[in-house]
Amino acid sequence: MLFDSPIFFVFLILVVVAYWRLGFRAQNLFLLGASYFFYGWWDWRFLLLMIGSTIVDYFIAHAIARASSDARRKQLLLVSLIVNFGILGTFKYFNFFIGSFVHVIQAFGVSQPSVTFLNIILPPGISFYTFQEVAYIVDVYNRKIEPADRFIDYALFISLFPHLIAGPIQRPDHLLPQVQKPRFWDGDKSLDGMILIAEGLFRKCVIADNCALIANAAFSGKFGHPNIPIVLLGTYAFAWQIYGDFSGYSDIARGAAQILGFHFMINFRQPYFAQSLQEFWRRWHISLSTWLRDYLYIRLGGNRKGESRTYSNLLTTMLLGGLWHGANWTFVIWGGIHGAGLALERVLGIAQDRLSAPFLAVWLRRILIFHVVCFTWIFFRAESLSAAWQMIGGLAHWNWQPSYMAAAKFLILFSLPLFALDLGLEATGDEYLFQSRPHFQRVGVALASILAIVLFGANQANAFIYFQF
Amino acid sequence: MTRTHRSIALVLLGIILIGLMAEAGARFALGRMSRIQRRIDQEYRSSLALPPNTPAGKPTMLLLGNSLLLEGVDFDSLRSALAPRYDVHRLVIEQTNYVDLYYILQTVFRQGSRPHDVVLCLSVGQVIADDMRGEFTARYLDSAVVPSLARREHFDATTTTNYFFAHWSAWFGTRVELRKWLLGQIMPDVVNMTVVLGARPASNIPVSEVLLRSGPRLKELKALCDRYGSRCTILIPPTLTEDHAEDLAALGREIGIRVLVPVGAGRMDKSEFRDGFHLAPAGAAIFTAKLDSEL
Repeated sequence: MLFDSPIFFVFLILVVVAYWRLGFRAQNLFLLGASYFFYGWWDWRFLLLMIGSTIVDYFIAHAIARASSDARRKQLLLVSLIVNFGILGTFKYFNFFIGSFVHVIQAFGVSQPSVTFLNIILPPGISFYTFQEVAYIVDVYNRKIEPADRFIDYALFISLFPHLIAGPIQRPDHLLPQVQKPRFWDGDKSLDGMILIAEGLFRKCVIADNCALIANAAFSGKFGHPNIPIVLLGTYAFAWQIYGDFSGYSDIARGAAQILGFHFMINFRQPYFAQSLQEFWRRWHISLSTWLRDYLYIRLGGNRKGESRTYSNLLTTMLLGGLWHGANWTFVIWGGIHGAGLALERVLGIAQDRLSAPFLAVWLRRILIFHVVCFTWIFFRAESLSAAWQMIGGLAHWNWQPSYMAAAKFLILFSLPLFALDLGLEATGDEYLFQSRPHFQRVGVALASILAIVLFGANQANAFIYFQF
Repeated sequence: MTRTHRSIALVLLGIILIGLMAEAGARFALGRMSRIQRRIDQEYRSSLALPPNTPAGKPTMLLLGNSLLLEGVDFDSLRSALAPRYDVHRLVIEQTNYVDLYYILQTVFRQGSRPHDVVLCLSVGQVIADDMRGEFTARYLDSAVVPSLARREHFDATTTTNYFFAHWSAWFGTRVELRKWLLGQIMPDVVNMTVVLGARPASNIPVSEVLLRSGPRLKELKALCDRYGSRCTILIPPTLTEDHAEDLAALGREIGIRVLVPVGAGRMDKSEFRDGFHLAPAGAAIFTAKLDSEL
């Protein structure tokens, strides 16, 4: 069930109406059933996989809490990590590693070895709920949280439908207590939730789906062989597409959760206004970047084991972060460039506080970082490494066609509103436009967003990008 | 009622109002604003009520197709030329392929229409294509055929429900057209860009694949037309490069369905095509004249 499809809103309305008529325990049970229905809407077999891993982690967490020795606790932690990453690895990376192995063997002159590729469909949201399960087990192991007493509560924490498919990845110490405590209808929060949903739909249907037309055309060769205008058009378009798409999804998720009485962490804070890559990662996909920081970078030693280990930890974290996005070397390179960039910033000491910098310097740095990020998007968007190199090679050629100007105007028309929105949010520090303004202005923003979606929404066969991760 | 509750009510009321306005706009205004939409609606309505023969005893013919039919056949000339023998009607829905048109034809039959002859005008590539126009097509489908379409195309549940929504809601079904029209008003040169965006690179499909994929389709099309007592013809428009249309015609003879190739691949000059794919008026005149003698 896609967040921008009418059936989702029928589902959401029915769930909200029924949910607020129930008592606390019944609410959790009902939401769990609704979340499983939401997930099983794609394919009920995927549901069995998720329920299976939920059961395993629920019991392992309790076993860790009861274990008398550290060695036993560590063993149980390992079992859980092997199960979780084993499932993720099998479904997401098996064919990738086999294929890469075959390429390496062939590079050494060995003829095509006999290997078996699995005919696997990637279950939606597996990367997201696996990370959430791992965070829970690690936090229980570190005695940061107590394991959930009730299976229903834990299962709901994992599967709550607004975050289930593409996050934001919720931290156990943030969401689990909300699941375990009664929730009460709050009109203000519900209004905020509705406005967030409207803004999220605007970001997805108006900004992302329209920018996608240009990005897809540029990266699929419809504009012709790559040259400077095509590369710039395609890359800028994809930059706004992926930002609108994913931040829109996150807003809808947060809005839906808010109407149900939950609070989800913010996932994006005007990322293209970052003045360094480090700042970019504090603003982009915050739930993933903080997960990687807390459960990978710090576990590897973070910056506590000397400079060279810090750089290697940064690179490892970002390479694995890249691989998390998809089983393709393009994502690994994307992560690698970010990792190398972060390490370089650290070497040069340029990731420090920028607040006091002059206006012009701030904007020059923002423009520079935006272009570095855009360069990495080429790898992220390209179907293969060779396609990415071909696109980059286009930067050595100049050609101009009248259709490029039309595409540029189209792109400005559909990216400027998001840029303006971010300018407003950056200036006010609000989570959504006019958050701290009077009610009638907030209602106006919501209705203006809906009207724009009705008139300019281009959502047809355009699934959210992060669904595939 | 608190101020917050009033605001929530206002948002909900506003959404309902915008939804109703969008629906009314799509139902009543889009047809007036858009020449293309008006034509499609008129042709669709007329195609739903065709008897096998006119009261004068003349058999009816329904020409069904996409922009290749619209631009490749001078319809008025053809209708005049065939007038002594046929009462000719046309239904053109742009950007459609075989699957769209097969289900639209099913709908036409299910609604009680019984054209004596059905002529489906598609390129060989479009006969075997799996692509569909999308939710716009659902506007012209009987809701009863949507489940069968969903099974055949392996739609997920969300896509299937989107087709139902597009069938019931004029705005949802035509929202892409509405957006295109609005953009055309704001930025006229965007229309030319959408041509670039919509273009598909020509693919050279091996003959074995053409035969493999078209065989079942020809059989199901024949079965559908036989069931409703119509005679079916597939009309292949001219192309610049080899498209294996003659092989398709031979397969049609085996299956018992007429595949017409009035002008073979590469027989027309490049100048007679508007864009290398659609015929220009001069090319359409040549093709229409050939068609008149073969239909």
